[in-house]
Formats: sequence, structure tokens, C-alpha cells
Amino acid sequence: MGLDRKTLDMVLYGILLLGMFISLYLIFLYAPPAVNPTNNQPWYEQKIFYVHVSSAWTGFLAFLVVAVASIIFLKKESHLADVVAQVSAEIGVIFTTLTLISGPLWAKSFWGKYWDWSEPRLVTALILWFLYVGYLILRSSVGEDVRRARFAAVFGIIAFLDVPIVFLSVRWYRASHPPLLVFEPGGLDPQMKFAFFFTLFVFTVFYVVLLRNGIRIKLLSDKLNRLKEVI
Amino acid sequence: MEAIIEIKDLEKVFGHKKALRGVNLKIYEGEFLSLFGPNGAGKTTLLKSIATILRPTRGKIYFRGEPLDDDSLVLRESIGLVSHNSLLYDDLTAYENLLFYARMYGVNDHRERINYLLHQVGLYHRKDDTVRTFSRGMLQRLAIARAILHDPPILLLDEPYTGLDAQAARILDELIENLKDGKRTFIMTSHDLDKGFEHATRLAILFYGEVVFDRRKEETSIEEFEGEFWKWVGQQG
Amino acid sequence: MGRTARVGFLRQVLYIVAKDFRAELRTKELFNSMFLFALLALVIFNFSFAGKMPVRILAGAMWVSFLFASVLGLNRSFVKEHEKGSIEGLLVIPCDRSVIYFGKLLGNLLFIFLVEIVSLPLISVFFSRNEILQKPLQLSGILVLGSLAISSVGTILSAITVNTRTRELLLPILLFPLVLPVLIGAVEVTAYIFQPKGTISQWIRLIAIYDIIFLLVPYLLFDYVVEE
Repeated sequence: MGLDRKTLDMVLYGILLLGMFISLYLIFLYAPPAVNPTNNQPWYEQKIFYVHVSSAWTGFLAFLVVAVASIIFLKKESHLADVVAQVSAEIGVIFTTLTLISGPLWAKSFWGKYWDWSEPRLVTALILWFLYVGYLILRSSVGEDVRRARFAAVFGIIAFLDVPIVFLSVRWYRASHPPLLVFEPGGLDPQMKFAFFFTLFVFTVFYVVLLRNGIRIKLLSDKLNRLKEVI
Repeated sequence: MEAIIEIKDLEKVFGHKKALRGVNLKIYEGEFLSLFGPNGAGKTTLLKSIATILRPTRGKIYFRGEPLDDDSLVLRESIGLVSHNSLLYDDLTAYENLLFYARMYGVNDHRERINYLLHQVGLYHRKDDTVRTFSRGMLQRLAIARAILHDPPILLLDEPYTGLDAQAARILDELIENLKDGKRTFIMTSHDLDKGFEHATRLAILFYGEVVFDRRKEETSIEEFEGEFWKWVGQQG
Repeated sequence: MGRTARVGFLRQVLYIVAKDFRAELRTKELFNSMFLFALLALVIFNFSFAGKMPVRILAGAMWVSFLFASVLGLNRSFVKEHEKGSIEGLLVIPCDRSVIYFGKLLGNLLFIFLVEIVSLPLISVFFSRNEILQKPLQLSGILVLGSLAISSVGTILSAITVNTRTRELLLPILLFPLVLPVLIGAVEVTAYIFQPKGTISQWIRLIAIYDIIFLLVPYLLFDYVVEE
């Protein structure tokens, strides 16, 4: 078993490292530079888009994992499920923060301003960030182990259900109050598309690697704490 | 004779603390079980588990031979709980407090029942006063009235004598005596050796989440029991 | 004497609501503080906007004030049960655990709604905004739909946060991101009621769907929150 886990780790690290280099190549050299639809100038900042959307999707994926792990925890009282939920939430905050940093940078180059409240992806990412942080604060505010996990699981499920509704509501808000420019990512060259999906893949592998390591560390530290109590 | 309540291998874990480590107990109808033990032994946890306020981590509780299911309504209908907390609402009067519980339990003739109980516990003259103004002894008496509104065949009492002065304790004695009708089952946890011994038909000691002594009163003597009591309760867990 | 009969679900829910109302009627602390808070918030809004609040801003200010006032009420709904441990009393009663959820939810909703319909006429008079009272039925409708969302999510959240060290702070942190879509929709609908423009049917649908989901899901999860 130890050998298998190590092999899997090696494979994942390998994919990740290789993938990162390939992705960078794809983004900067392979995908053609975009043209800014507003002024028909070359638009290099558009390349942030690859990172921005990838981190957004990974942030959402992490939250989906939190929700699923929470459901499993409530049904099976599995400590592992609780650990998965917590670690995934911590990773999710990181990716969502990345989304919120890369988003405004990209937005400035497209809209000329750092934020637009009618951009559903941005606003949903912001709300997602608040929900993540709320989840983690909730966890740290409850003293007792089992109840902490249970409360977090209930909140995780409720919060996850909220995310698509937030997205929809901002979309509809935008329909009633349309901004001057609306970004539709539909019009991508096939090369850009490939670069994007590959980057998304690399981000997902990155998430999985972080998750595995995080779970391992958490399980070990739990064991250590339990031993400390006996002494 | 079949036990009215049977507890099998009951375990309860709070985080990393094991409050109950495999409790086995058979309680028969009409018994008065006095449960002793040092602080932290798990007495309150055990009582709350029987009251279905706590869900066991492992093990099962059987009521009249049937295991408790998720709802355990049948057991809850048959139980009256006098807890550490009074379970009363500060801003309601004594009467209103009892009215709420009577309604929730579905007591048929609640007006008469409430007034009768208020007389029984000697609080009828305070029935329209808010509970906020009550002393500990009065709270305890009202709590007992609350617990027996629905005339439950099983009464759970969690250290009911704690904090009571001599007069209140005497009233409590009387109340308990009145309730003993041969069919009613009592489970009482106590710190007080004398009170617990006096009422009991069965004595048990809980230590560190396990039952370490369990005898009917006639199978032991006060000296033997005192010896056991101090042996276990003397050591703090 | 003392013979019992099984009590129906709805009845038990109503008994809990009646109990909370009776207790509140005695002190009126909660209602007063919620009401004053909502009013004060609106006064401050009025000064911030130098008396010029277009319809959208008025609708927004209203909902923000009511949301904040709701938080006061939500926080308290389970604190009272923990004071003398009466939550144990509720747990030992032969009833479905969800009776507690719906009982508290309904109580919270009624409190909030009461605060809203008492403050709105006053707002209309003091801010000289006639449009507020033009369509009372429609306005009440959106008030109920929106407040239901706040109450349904808020009740299960307050059942959680009452067990934490930082309960008063934690509830709004968790609640606000969750009710945001409803707030957006409620403001749109309210602004429309004051001054019809555009379409709002999609918003009403959104809030209705939100209400259904966030009544159902907390109902399913409440057992995990209230038991130990």
C-alpha cells in the first residue's frame, strides 16, 4: 500500500510539473494573442483569463467536494469525510482568492475598471469566498469535535446550494441593468480553447495534489493530538 | 420478568472523551434505581441518553423489549425528566410554563391537571408569577410538576436534591413518596449517599463510564454499600 | 387525569409559536429593539442620501434595515432556549425534531413581519413617500416572501451559532452571503411595486424557488444541528 501511494504521488507530481511547463508554453507561445474587441489593439492581458477562469472552476470544484464530503459525513459519521471537507475548504479559499486577484486585473484591461457588479462570475466568486471564510470561521468557533464537524457539514451543504442561485441572480440583475460591455467567452480560437482546457486540467491536478497532501497532514496531526491527550 | 428499559453496551463519545464505555443495565418496572458516581463518571450522560436527548455513539437502548428507533416517540411519551436545568422559560408564568408542556404532551384535561399539580407542589399561590422570580427550590418543584404533567410511568431525576435547602428537600421527599405507586419506575442520579439510599430499591455505581456496582437494596447492607460508595466516589476520575 | 393523546405536527408548531409570542409579549424587549433599530437605520440612510432617495435606493435601504433588524431577532430565538436549558425540554417532548425548526421559523417570520408592517407606515409618513403604502397587498407579499427566506436560513443558522463562542458576530457573517440573491430580488420587486418598470416575474420565481429549497433543506438537516 505504501508503495502504491508513493507511486501515485510521484505520478501526480510528475504530471503537475510537466503540465505546468506545457501550460505556460501553451498560454504564452501557442495561443495566439487576443485582440481587444473594444479597441482592436493586441490584448496581452487577456492571457490572465486562462488562470482566472481555471482558478474559478477549481474553486468551485473544491466547494463541490466540501458539499459532497459533508453529506457523506452526516450519513456515515466518517472522520475522513470531515477532514476532506475541511482541507478542501482551505484549498478552495486559496483558489478563490486567486480568482479574486486575477479577476480585477483582467477586468481592468477589458472594462477599464477593476470590478463590475453585473459580472456574475466575479460576484459569485466573491460570495463563494465569503462562504468559504464563513465555513472556516464556523469551524474554529466550535469547541467540541463532533458538533463542529456536524455544524460545518450542515453549513457546507446549505452554502453550496446557494452558489448557483447567486450566479443566476447576478445574471438576471445584469439583464435588467446591462453594462456597456458584456464578456462572452464563446468566441475563442481552437488553439486558445486547447490552451484553456489544458490549463484547467493542470489546475485540477494541482488541486488533487494539494488535497491529498492536506488530508495526510491533517490525519497525522489528529493522531498526534490524540496521543498527546493520553500522555 | 422483562425489563422495562434495557441498556446494552452503551457507549457515548464526546469528541475524544469517552463518557460512557459500554454500560449494561436492566431496569425493571416499579424499581427505584439510585445511580451514584464521582463527577464526570457519566451519570448525567446516561440519564440524558435514556431520555433520548443524547444519541448513543454505540450500543442500544430497549424500551419494553423494542429497540429505540430514530423517533423514539413511544419512549419519550413515557418519560418525565427532571434535569439539572429547570427547563423552564423565564418570561412565562408558572401556569404558562406548564400550559406549554401540557399542550405539547397532549394532556387531555390540562387546566385541571395543571392546577392540581400546582397545588401538589405548593406553588398554586405563585401560578401567575413569572418564573424569573422563583428561587431554586421553587424552580425545582415546578420542574417536577412539569415532568409529571403527562403522568409518565418512568421518571428520570438528575441530582434533584442539589442546591436545595432542608425545607425544599423535605417537600421533594414528599413529592417523590407520593409518586411511588408500585408501578412507576424511577432512575435518580445522586451525590447524596443518604437520600439516594433512602429512596432506592436498587443501587448502582458508575465509574469512568462503566457500571462497577449493581445490586438490589436487599442484597446488600448499608455498611457494604457505604464501603463501595466511598471506594469509588472517593477517587475522582 | 394526565391522560394524553398524540398531538399533531401543526399544532405542536403553533404551540411553540404561541409560547414564544407569549414570552415576548411580557417583556417586548425584542420587538422594541428590532423596531427601533430598523427605524434608526432608515433615518441614517435618509441623512446619507440628503433626503433624495430614488425609488430603488429607498427599496434597498428598506431591505437592508429589515435584514439587520432580523439578525437581532434571529440571534435571540435560540438564546432563550439555552438560558435555562429549555432546549432539552423541547428534545424530550414526543415530537419530531423538525417541529422545533418550524416553530422557531414561524415565530421568527412573524416577528420580522410585524416589525416591517409597523415601521412601514411610519416611514411613509416621515419620509413623505406615498408610494410605500399604495399597494399594501403586493408589498406585504414580497415582504413575506423575502422575510421567509431570511427566517428559514436564519433559523437553522442561529441554531448552529448559539453553540459557538462568537454567536452574535457569526450569524450575520454566515447569513448575509446566503440571502444575497433574495435581497437582490426583493429590492427589484419592491422598487417595481413603488414604480412599475421592466419585468419582475423572474425575480418572484427566483425568490419562490429559493424559499422552497431553503425550507426543505434545513428541515432535512435540522436533526443534525439540534441533537448532540
